[in-house]
Amino acid sequence: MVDEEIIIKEILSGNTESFKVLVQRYERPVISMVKNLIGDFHECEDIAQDVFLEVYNKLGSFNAEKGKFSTWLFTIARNKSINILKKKRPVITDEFPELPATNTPIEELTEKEIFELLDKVLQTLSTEHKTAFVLAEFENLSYEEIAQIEGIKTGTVKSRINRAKEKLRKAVKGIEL
Amino acid sequence: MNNRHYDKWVTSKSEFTISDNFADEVMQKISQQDNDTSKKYSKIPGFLLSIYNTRLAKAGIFITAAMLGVSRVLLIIYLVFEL
Repeated sequence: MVDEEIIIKEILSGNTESFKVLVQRYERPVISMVKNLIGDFHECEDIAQDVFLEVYNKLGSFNAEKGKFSTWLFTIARNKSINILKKKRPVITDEFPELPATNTPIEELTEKEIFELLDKVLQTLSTEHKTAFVLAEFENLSYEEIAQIEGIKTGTVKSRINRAKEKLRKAVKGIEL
Repeated sequence: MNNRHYDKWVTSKSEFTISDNFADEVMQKISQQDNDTSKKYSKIPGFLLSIYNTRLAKAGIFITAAMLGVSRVLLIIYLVFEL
């Protein structure tokens, strides 16, 4: 795998085509992150494309001494997703959706129903809790990386993730997270 | 209900398909953007453009023109480039 710093130098020296290597390397995690933060499967690819466009435009300001390229990329993806969320839902209530109308005990729900319920609950979490949870659980980023992306301390990251899990657990009683 | 469900949920969230031409579309947007930019500034000499493209230079031209109030040319240059 070619070193990212070399690829970035090539792009900045005018070889635009090298950017495609970065896009192909990170398209899956970026789309996944946007998808889980926005919760809208239809427009996540368009948003992810805008993320890469912004990354390309700002590439000159990337400083490898300050952190990894992936962390910088995720920061841009996170900011874009949050801006879109703000436009879509200016107020996040943090309220949980009701359990399925039948009020079926959790043990009797099918796996698909449980997943759908978890999806719904995820989208009701506050942006801070959701972002920390998504980055940690779906993108497998370290607490340190998340702290850098969010501009907070690692202790705060841990507490946000725990809080997110607690809320998910509370919404889906009986689930062990 | 146990960890098994949670693990499966997390795993299922990363299982999705991406359009085959995703990267190509990104590159197309970049190329389109680059072409638009070069078209917009095609009549401006490169070295002037590189100087002008710094925020400091833009701010400098604007503030100087506004403060002195004598150089309408500078204001016009600023407005023409910006609009």
